[in-house]
Amino acid sequence: MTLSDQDRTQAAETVSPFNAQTGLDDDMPNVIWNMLKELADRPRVPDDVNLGKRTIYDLCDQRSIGPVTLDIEQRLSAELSDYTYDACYQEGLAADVLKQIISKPSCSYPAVELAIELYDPNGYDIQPSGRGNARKLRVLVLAVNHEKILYYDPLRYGKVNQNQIRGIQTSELDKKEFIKAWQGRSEITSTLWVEETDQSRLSEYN
Amino acid sequence: MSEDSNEGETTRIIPESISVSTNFSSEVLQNTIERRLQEVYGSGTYLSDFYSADSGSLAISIGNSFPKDVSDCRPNRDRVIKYIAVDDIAELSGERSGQEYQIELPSRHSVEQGLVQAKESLREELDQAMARAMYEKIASTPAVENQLNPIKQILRWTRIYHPVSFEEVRKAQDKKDDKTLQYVHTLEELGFIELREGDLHPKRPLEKYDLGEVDGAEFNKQILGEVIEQGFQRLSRDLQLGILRHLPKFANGYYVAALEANDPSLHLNMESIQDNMVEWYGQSARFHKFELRDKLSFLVRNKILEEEEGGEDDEDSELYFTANQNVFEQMSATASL
Repeated sequence: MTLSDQDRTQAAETVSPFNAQTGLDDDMPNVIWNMLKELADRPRVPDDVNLGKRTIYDLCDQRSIGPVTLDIEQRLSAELSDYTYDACYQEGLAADVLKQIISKPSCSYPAVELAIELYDPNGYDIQPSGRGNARKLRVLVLAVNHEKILYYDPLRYGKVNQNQIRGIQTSELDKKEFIKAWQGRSEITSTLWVEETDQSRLSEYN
Repeated sequence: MSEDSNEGETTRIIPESISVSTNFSSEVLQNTIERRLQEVYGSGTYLSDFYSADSGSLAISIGNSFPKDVSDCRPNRDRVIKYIAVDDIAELSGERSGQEYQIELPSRHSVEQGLVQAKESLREELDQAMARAMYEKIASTPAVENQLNPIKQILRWTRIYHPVSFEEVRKAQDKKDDKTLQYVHTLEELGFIELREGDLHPKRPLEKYDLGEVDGAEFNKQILGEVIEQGFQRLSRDLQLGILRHLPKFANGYYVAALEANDPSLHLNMESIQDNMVEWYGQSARFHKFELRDKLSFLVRNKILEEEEGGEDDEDSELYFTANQNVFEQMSATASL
């Protein structure tokens, strides 16, 4: 089953109001910000679930070296403690679980980490350093099926070359290719999402 | 989150240390430590050096990589993001305690400062490499010659009249604020002349022009080229010779991307060059587009950059800059980017 036009249209509508990252290395706070913004825009979700750019940058301690990912779900949950939402972080999830998270109205879209050296996006090129070093990239997964994955990739934006980037669009990648980058060399996937607390936790499926 | 504005330090949100099992093989141990440190210092973190002593202590150097846009500006070209790695931005130590290594974690602020300093070293190296690649080409241009005129006078007079009284040279230059003495000190440090008992004496780099019977304009060009090559940092920073300080910035606004992309045919427009300059040198490297254009034209006239108009068959009427092949090759050979 391939992605339908409806999947693509829906994903395009989801990302069009997203904010581009400010610098090329702001992917983590940018993805969390857009994740919360989209969740807060849903019916019956409090607006303040969108914690705002400044708070999210602070809780990631975003600096030029990169963000702190250690215990990020705890800091995010603490910021969301006034609402019925919690942040969840899991390692070793499979793509089918991403699909379940996406289909649950009580869950945000999931943010995942991709290994740059194994990631070959459509539409632009990424080159690791001469010795193969690169950062990981966080993207927001919007739709998963048997063959393809639709997602928001912040590295396509930020310090833009105005001639090349016009508006925020979804990215699409072959599922196998995506999973290879998601697993990385350590072959351990990592996923972060926000979930309504009085709903059954997705982690119970595992 | 409270912030100490003096130190740029936020409330510590990382632990004081991490512990890692000693039961791993060396490779698994290094991979495990690297992964744990990536959670704390960013996912670009890697071990640039790792030493495990028999006594059970660990000495670890970490590096980091960061993304840079090196896209060609011509229409319908793909965006290209290149990661730049810098080694040894911080040192960590660990001690064996039972079945675990305890590794102390410096603050994120101090690791970030290490990255800032490493970038600064890269920048200085790039400037020096550019000064070396361009010095012969710019030494005889009127703008550079004018700024270096006092240097040229000291060298020429020392060569002709040696030993020449420093007081006479100072009188002849008639400069305020002991500028002549500053120039003399710089030339002494660079080994061109020596101030001894009130007189200036030529030293070997200056004397060799006598052996080769190099005179007049050719002497000026060669000696000034050599002074720029040897003393770029001192001349540009300490003596505030602006044109030397700025020209490599403009040139490197192009070459930093071309070297990273390893592509001398990379086409960049003025906007991209300006963005690169600000990214590498900070906001002080932002110039009005008229001035930017003048400086880039100067570099083109002196064969440090090439320029190319956009194609006629489309709407692309933009002006692009590309590498001068010789400069690119020299830069590739000397800069570690």
